[in-house]
Amino acid sequence: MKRILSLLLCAVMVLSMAACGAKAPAAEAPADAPMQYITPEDAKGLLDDSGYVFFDIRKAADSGAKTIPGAQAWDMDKAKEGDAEAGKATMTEATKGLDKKIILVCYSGKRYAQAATNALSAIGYDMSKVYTLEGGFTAWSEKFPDLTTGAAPAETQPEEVELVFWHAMSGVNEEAMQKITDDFMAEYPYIKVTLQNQGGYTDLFDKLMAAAKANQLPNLAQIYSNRLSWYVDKGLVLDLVPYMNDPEIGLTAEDKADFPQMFMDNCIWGDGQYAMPFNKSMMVLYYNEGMLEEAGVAVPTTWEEWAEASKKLTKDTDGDGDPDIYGTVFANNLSTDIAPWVKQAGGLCMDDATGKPFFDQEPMRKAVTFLNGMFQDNAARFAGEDKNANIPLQQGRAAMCVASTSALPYIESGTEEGIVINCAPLPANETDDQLYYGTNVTVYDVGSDAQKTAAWLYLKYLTATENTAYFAAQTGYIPVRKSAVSDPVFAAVLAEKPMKQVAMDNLDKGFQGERCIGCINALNALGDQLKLVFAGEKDLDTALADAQVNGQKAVDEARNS
Amino acid sequence: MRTNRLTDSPPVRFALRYKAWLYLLPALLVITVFQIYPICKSFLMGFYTDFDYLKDEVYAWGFDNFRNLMRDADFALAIKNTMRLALVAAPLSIAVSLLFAVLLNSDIRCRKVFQSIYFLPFVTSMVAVSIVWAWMLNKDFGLVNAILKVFGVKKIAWLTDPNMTLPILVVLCIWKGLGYRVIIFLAGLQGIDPRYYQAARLDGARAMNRFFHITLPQLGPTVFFLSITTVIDVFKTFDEVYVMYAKEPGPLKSGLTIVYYIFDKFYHNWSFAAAAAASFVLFLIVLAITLLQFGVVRLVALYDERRTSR
Repeated sequence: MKRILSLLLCAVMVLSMAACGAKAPAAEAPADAPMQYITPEDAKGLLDDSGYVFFDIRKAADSGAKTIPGAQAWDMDKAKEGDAEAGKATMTEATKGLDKKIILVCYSGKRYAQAATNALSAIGYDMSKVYTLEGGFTAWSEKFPDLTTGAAPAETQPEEVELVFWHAMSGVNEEAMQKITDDFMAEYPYIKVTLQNQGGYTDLFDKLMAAAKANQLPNLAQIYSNRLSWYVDKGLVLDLVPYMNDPEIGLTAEDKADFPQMFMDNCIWGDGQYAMPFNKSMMVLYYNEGMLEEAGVAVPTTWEEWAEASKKLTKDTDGDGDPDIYGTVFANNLSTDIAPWVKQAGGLCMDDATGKPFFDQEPMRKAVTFLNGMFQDNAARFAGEDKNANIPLQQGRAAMCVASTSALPYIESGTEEGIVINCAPLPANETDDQLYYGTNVTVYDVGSDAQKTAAWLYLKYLTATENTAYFAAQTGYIPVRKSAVSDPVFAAVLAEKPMKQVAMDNLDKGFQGERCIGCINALNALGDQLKLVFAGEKDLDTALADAQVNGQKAVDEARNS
Repeated sequence: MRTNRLTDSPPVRFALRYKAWLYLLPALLVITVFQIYPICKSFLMGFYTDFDYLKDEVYAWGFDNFRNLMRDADFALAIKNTMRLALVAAPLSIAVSLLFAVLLNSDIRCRKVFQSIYFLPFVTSMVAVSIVWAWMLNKDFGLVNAILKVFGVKKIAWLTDPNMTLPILVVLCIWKGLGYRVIIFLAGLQGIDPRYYQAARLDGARAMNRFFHITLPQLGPTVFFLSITTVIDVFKTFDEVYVMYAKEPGPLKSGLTIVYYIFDKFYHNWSFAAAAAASFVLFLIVLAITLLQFGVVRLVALYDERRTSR
């Protein structure tokens, strides 16, 4: 045993003496990594072999003056002087995305080569693929004086690329996004992604429109598909299909199938893929567990149960005639959000292909009648000054509310003491369809080819399983990859927070809203009429008839520009 | 006759002749690029019926946008709301400002302090003011309802009751512009010859009479100036609604003003041509009202002239 140990020690000593490090290695310095040599004759035969790459690691002045044709110059001067970190950094950069055999070229094949070998070994490069040119450049230039070139070609590392990404995420959402972006930039040091918060969604979309006119669109932006359709129509958006199908940087068939079809379809127009899904959430019914229990009400699963529950849970505690606790609170704008009830009544809001509104048809009438019933019973209200429907619920001024699962982080952190909130899928009617919404990230057709490629790499990274899982774990959104469920980070969060499970369980019943050009305007026209109906200012039939006329007009108008 | 050789030389004469224009040039350039050109452009855009907004290509022209506008119930509502606001807010705010100006003009103590306080809202950003007002008027947590509660008044849904929108906007308009109008009025009041008042006093005219027969007529041009600027200001009402009602045109569109309508058409509906047409109509309305005001003033002056020359 002792003998083996001493033999080992001897070997290490011999190695370190043979190595470039002429000065004795410091006691705590790690042993030098072994080197394997290649003769100049053998190396010459590999000059044109694409499986090999020559690293000229002499001083920059020398490698710049004369070197082996095709060699990449990497300065290992600091590493040779003992700065192992600098050596590791240079070699990390040199081997980024590299999967070739490396031939190290220094002066005599000793000290510089040893420093580079140590660095490569330390960063975990496959050492069976690292060779050192025997005798270094001195030997080479003696043997093949014709095979030297005046100056080393410029370093072949990719050119620096900057990307600007406009988004509307704040709080934990923005933090998670920044973290993923930072990771991305660490992995691709030549790409710089600047996240720019543009305010809320409406602010973002207003600014995008102005930017489009001024020809200053950002490289990347978060956008709803019902907004993106206009840009796609105008040819301002990059078709990602060539990038996705690229054998090197694209997605595998397995990857593609890993995105839920509903989310992927939302990004596809015709044969083109114009975005990638990013932050998706589900519309759910949040409820105050204590209030439901106290009133002896079960979580509603049908429209009838819901209306009944809402009525029971509404309370006027101070007796002034106005409820202080409402059964259900809805978001302020029911224009695009009316979709799930129309769908559950067996219809659609609009024909997405032609842009024809179906506002005066039976499913819409059923949906509005149902919702209106709750409003007329004074058992439901809009969020109003509370702005978001979850606010009154968190403060005990509502028993239930309809909101997105994206509100989860706010509910976790901002709910008053003693209130326990849970959520359930929307109560069903004829069907059990559930609304999913959220934005996609698009790449505008601006900038250089390098930027476009970099933007795709970023999108691919953003939607990679572990990253979408991380994003979903930190926020109220759900991952855009099916495989994220088995990601340990997200799985742990799912186990801990049952509310997150609801959005995952209902994916197969999910659908996303209309997106044709003009549909927002048409649905807003509908929303205006709905407000009049719920306020008791207009009867349902006239309102829906007006909504139909105004909606059709809005679509026509939107299509002439 | 003395002749000046220098000024007689042709190039200098030319320069002198157009000197005024040279001085005006910078300002004219700015106005042309940022005011006149956009006005013409948006006027033209009002007639685009089929076009590519981004490439600036127009495929068809027509009157469709104006026709649609006239048929649009929302536009009618926007005009109605704006007119109502102008009819109530403009005269009221001028009257209130005049009252305060007269009070300040009567040698009270700390006049400068009051003046500064009245001026504060004017120099505060409308957005900041609107946010504060939205909180004060909040139904459940607002200061206003809290004070009213002390007097036993039931909670009022200031910001969600459509009937409250006009009063709130009127009060906001009066309060916001008070300082500015008071300053203008004070300047006018300083310009009135004190001998008129002395003479009136000698004749035994009471304060009321002095106000209506000396102060008010003497302030005629000031009132006229303020009435024009105030009406134009009211017609531009937008930010307060947008911020106070959280990016909605008030409950049930009760705060939908013409400018809000234009903004909504342009930014939210992306109906660029419709927005252009609407802004041109707004321009015409403001122009008409201003001309009307000029006309009234001229009539009054004519009437006065006749009366005094008789």
